[in-house]
Amino acid sequence: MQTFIRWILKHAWIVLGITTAVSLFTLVQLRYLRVEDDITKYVPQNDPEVSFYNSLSDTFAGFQKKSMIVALEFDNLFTPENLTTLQKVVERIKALPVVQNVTALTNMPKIVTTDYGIEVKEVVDVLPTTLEEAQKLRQDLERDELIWGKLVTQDGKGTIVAISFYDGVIEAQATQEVEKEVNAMSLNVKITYFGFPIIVREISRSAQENMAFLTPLCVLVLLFILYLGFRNLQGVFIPIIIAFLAALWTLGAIVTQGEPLTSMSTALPVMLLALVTAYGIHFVNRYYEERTREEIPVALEKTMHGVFIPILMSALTTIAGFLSFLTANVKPISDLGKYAALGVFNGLILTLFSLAAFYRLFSPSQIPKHFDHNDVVSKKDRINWFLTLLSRAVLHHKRIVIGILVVIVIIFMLGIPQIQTETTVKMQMGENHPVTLLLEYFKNRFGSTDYNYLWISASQVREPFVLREMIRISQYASRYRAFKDASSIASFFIDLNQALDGWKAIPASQDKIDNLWFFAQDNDYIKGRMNDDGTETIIEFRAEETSSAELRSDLKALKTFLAQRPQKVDKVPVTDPAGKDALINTIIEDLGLFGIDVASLPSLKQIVEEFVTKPWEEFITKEGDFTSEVVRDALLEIEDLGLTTGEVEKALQNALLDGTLQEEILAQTLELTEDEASYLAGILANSIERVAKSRKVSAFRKTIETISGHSLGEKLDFVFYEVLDEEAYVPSPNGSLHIDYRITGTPVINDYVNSKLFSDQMRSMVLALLIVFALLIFQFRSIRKASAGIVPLLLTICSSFGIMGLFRIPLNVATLTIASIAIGAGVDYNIHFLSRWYGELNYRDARLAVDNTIRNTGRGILLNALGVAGGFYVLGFSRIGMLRMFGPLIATVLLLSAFYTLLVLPLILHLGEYFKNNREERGK
Amino acid sequence: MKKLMVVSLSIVFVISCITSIAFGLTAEEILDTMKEKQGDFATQRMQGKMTLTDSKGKEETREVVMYSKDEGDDTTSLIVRFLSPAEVKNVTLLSIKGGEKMYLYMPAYKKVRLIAGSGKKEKFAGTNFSYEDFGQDYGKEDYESKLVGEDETSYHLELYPKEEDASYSKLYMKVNKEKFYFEKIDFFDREGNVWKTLEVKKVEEREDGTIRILKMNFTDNKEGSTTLFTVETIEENIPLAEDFFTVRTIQKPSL
Repeated sequence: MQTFIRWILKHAWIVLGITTAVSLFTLVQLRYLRVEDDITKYVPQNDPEVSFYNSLSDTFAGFQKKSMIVALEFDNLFTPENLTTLQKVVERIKALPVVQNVTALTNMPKIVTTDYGIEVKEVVDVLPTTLEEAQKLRQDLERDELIWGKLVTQDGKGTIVAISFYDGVIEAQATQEVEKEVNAMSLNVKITYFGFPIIVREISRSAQENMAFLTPLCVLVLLFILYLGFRNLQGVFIPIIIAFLAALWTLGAIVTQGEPLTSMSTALPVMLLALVTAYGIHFVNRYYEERTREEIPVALEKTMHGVFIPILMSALTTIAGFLSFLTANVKPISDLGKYAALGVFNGLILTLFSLAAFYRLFSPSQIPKHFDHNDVVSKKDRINWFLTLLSRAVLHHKRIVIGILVVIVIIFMLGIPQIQTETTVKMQMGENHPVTLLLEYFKNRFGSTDYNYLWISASQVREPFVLREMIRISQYASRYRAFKDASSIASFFIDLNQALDGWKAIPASQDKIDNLWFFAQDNDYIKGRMNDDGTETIIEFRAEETSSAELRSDLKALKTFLAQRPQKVDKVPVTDPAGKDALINTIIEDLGLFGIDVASLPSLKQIVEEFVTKPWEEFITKEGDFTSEVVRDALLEIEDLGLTTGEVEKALQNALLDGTLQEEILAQTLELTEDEASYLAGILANSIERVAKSRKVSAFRKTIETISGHSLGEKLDFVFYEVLDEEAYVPSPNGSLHIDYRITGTPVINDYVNSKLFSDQMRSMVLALLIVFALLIFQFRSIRKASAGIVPLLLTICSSFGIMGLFRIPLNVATLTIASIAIGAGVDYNIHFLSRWYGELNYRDARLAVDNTIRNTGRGILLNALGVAGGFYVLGFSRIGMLRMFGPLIATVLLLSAFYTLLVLPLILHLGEYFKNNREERGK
Repeated sequence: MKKLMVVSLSIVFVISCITSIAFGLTAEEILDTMKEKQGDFATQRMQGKMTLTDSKGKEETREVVMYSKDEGDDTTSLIVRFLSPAEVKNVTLLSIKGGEKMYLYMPAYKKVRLIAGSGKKEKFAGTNFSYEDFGQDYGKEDYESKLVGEDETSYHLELYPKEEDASYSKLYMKVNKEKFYFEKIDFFDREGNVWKTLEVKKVEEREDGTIRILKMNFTDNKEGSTTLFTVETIEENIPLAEDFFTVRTIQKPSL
C-alpha cells in the first residue's frame, strides 16, 4: 500500500491529466444521453408467466394489438356539427397508410336482423342533420351498454376513436402521425391521445426533466451541508466535484454502451452525488485532522494510510449492496444496481487517485480551526457538541441509551406487519404525474384501459361445449371488478346466432357453429381472437382499477371457479339417462350462474326435466299467431314463389293436420305445381320447426319467470335455449373434448411480477448482508468484530421496513431497494467507526477510545450521513411519485443507520471490551 | 349523287382507319373488345379450387362450383357453392344481376339470408373477394374508363366506378394487347392507396380466339393475404332452368 500511495503522490500530474481527459471525453458523450422508459419492458421477458403473456400477441392478432385512442371532448357531442367533425376525424385518420382500422361511434358495425335477413349496419348509419335527429340518436345510444359510458361518456360530451395499426409499422411513429394529422385539423375541442408510445414518451420526458431539476438542487444542498462541516471552500467543493465527476463518468459509460436511462436511473446523479461525496468528506476530514499535527506531505501520506482501507471497504460494501440488485429480474432495478455500483467504483477511483493527486499539487495552506478538538472554538462547534453529548451518553448513561434504543426498535417492529405492496400507476408515478392524469382521465370518462385475459386451449374452440363454457366463465367473472365486460368469440357468436335464429344463445349443433363461423370468419375481431388451427382463444375482460389485495382475491375466486369446471367431457344423447341428467343439472347450474336463486325453487328440477323431455313437436298448433309466425319466418321464399303471406297462411292452416304438414292440401289450396308444392312444404316445415322450438324455449322461460317471480332478461336466452339440446356434455376422465385455462393480462402480470419482485428483493437483501458480512470479516480478520458491525445494519433494516409500515409507504419498485442500499451504504459508517476504534485501542483505554472515535470519526460519519441524506432528501422534490417516496425514506434510513452506528456500536464495543477486561482480570 | 355518297363514306372509313391507327383504341373500345374476347355464352359452369394464403403463409384450400348467367346490360347472375372442406360444404351464395341482390344459404340453419347494406362489402368466405366482387365484369355499365397509357404488350386503363358508395375509388387495369384480357388490376381504396391486386396467371385461348382465365391471384395488399383461384373445368352454354338463379335453387342439396 505504501508503494501505491507513494506512486500516486509522485505521479500526481499524470493522474490529474488522465482524470481530466476521461472527464472531458464523458462530457462530450453526454449529448447522446437519452431517457427511454418503456414500461412494457420492465418485466422479465424470460419468466414463464411473462413470456406466456407476451406469446399471446404472436398467437392472437387481436391481443395487445398496436393501437392508440384519440379522445374528443365536445360541449355536446350530439349536434349535427360535432358528429360531422367526429366523422371527419375518423376519415382523416383512416386515410393514413399506417392505419389498419378505425373504430368510432360513426362507423361501429352492428348486426341487425330484418324480415329478410342479416344486415351489417353502422351504428350511426346516416349522420343526423338536425338537432332533433342528433338527440334521438343520443337516446338510442344511451340504451346500448356497449357504447354508453365506454365509447361515449355518460354526459354525452366525449367520445373516443380507437385506432389499430398494421403489424409492420413502428408504433411510436404511427402514433405521432395520427397526432400530427388530428392536430393539423385545428379543432376547437379538447383532444387527448392515449397509447403505449405516448405513455413511454411522457414518462421519459418527465424523467429527463426530473434529472435536470434535481441534480443542481442536490449540489446546492450538499454545498450547504459541506459548508457547515468544513467552512472552507476546498472542503466544500472538492468532495462535490469528485462526486460530480463520478456521476459524469457513469453517465458517459451508459451512453458509450448505447443504453438509455430509465425513470429509476435518472436518480443516479443525485444518488452518486450523495454517496460519493461521503468519500471526499472522509478524505478531507482526515486530511484536516492530520494537518493539525503534521506538515502537508506527511499529513497527506498519513491521510492516505488512514482512509485507504476504510474508503475501499465502504465502496466495496456499497457496490455489493447495489450489485445485489442484479438478482432482481426487473430491468430498472438491475440497471440501477449495475450503474450505481459502477458510479461508486468511479467515486472510489476518483477519491483515492485524483483527490490525493489534487491535494498533492494544490494543498490548502490553512485548515479550518474547529478541526483542532482541543481548541476553544471547537467547543462552540455544534457537531462537536453533539458528538460529545453522544459520547457521554454512551459512556455514562448506558441503561438509558439501551432503553431508548429498545423502545425505538419495538415501535418499528410493530410497523413491519402493516407494510403493503401497492403498484398502481397512481402510486408509482404520483397523483399529478401526466401519465397518472392521462390514465385517470380515460378511466373516469371511458372506463379502464387495462385488460385481463383468460386463455383457453381446447380440442377445437369452435365446439359448442367450449363456446358455452366461455359464456359461463364470462358470466361468473363479471361479478369481480378485475374481470368486467367480457368479450370473446363466444359473445360474437351469440349475437350472430340471435340475428340468424332469434336467440341470444350458443347453438348445440356443430354444423350451425360452422355456418356462423363461415359467416364471421373474415371479421377482424374473430380472426384476432383465435389461433391458426382453432385450438386456442381468449376472453378479454376490462379490468377496473383495484388494490393488489382485491385483485388477488378476484383472481383466486376465478381460479377456484375454473378448477371446478369440467375439463374433459363426452357427448351423450339426452335419450340416455346419463345424458338427460347431465343436461338437467347443467341447466339448473346455469340458471344459478345467471342469477336465479335455484335453491328457493324446490320444483325446479321437475320443471326442467319436463321441458327437456318434452318434444318440440308438441308446441305446433293451428292457432293464428303460430301460423302467422311461420309464414313470417318463410317470407323470403314465399315472395320468391310469387305468393302472398295471407294466402300461404290460410293454406298452412288447412294443411297442418295433427302437427304434420300435408303437401297435397298445400298444392291444391295454392294451385301449385308438384315441384313448387314440395319446395314450399319443405320451407314451411323448416319454419314450423323453428317456430315450434322457439315456442318451447319461450314456454320454459315463462315457467321459470312465473315460479321465480321475476322478469328475466335477454341474457338468460343462453340457458333457456339449452332446453332444445339433444345431446349433453358429461364429464369423463377420458373425454374426447377437453378444455384448459390460464389467466393473464397486464394487471395480473403486474401483480405477479411485483410479488416475485418482493421475494427477489428479500433474496438480494440477504445476499447483500452476507457479502457485507464477508467483507467485514476480511477487513477485520475476526468474526466477532464483523458481527459487531452487522448489528447496527440489522437494526437499520428493521427500521426501514418499520417506517414503511408505520407511515403507510407501500412497497414498490423503488422502495423495495431501500434495505439493500441501506446495507451497502450504512455499513460504511460501521467500517469507519470500527477501523478507528481498533486503531485507538492500540494507544488508549476503552473509554478514551470510545470518546475519541465518536468525536473524530463520528464527525466524518455525521457529515457523511447528513450529506448522503441531504442528497437523497432532494429526491423528495421529484416529479416521479416512487422517487418522491424513495428519496426521503432512504435518507431517513441512512440517518438512522448513522445514529445506530454512533450509539449501538460504541455500546457493543465498549461493553465487549469491558467484559473482556473483566474476564482477563478474573483469569489473573 | 350515289357516287358522291360512296366517296364520302369511303373518306369517313379511311379517316376512321387512320384515326384508329394514329391514336389507337379508346378505353371503351378496349373494354368492348375484352368483352368480345370473353366469348359469347349465356351460361357457364365452372369448377375449381380457391387456395387462401394468410399473411403468415398458412394455406387453406376450398373447392367451389360456380354457375353464371349473362343477364344482359353487362350484368351477370351468379351462384357460388362450396363443395369442401366439410365445415363449409353447401354454403351457397346467390348474386343476382351483378350484386343487385345477394343471398347466402346456410345449410345448418336451413335458411337463406339476404346480405344487405355494408355486408356486401365484407369479404366472402375467407377469400380476398368481397361479396360484391363476385360477378364483376368491369364493363362500361358500371365504370367510366380512361386510357392512361400503353406499352409494348399492354394498354393501361383507369376505371372509375359510377356507383357513389363503391368500395373502390379507382381501378388501374393492364390489358393484354394481343389477346385482350386483363393481366392485372389494381384496386384503389377511397384514400388512393392500392388495396387489392388481381393478377391473371394463366389463360386459355380457344380456336375461336376467345379467352378463358384459368388461374388468377387476388392479393389484399393491406393484409398481405392472397386468394389463388384455379379453374379445373369450364362448361359453357349449359341448359339452366329459367328460375335457376333464385333462392329456391341454392337451398337444394345438389345444384
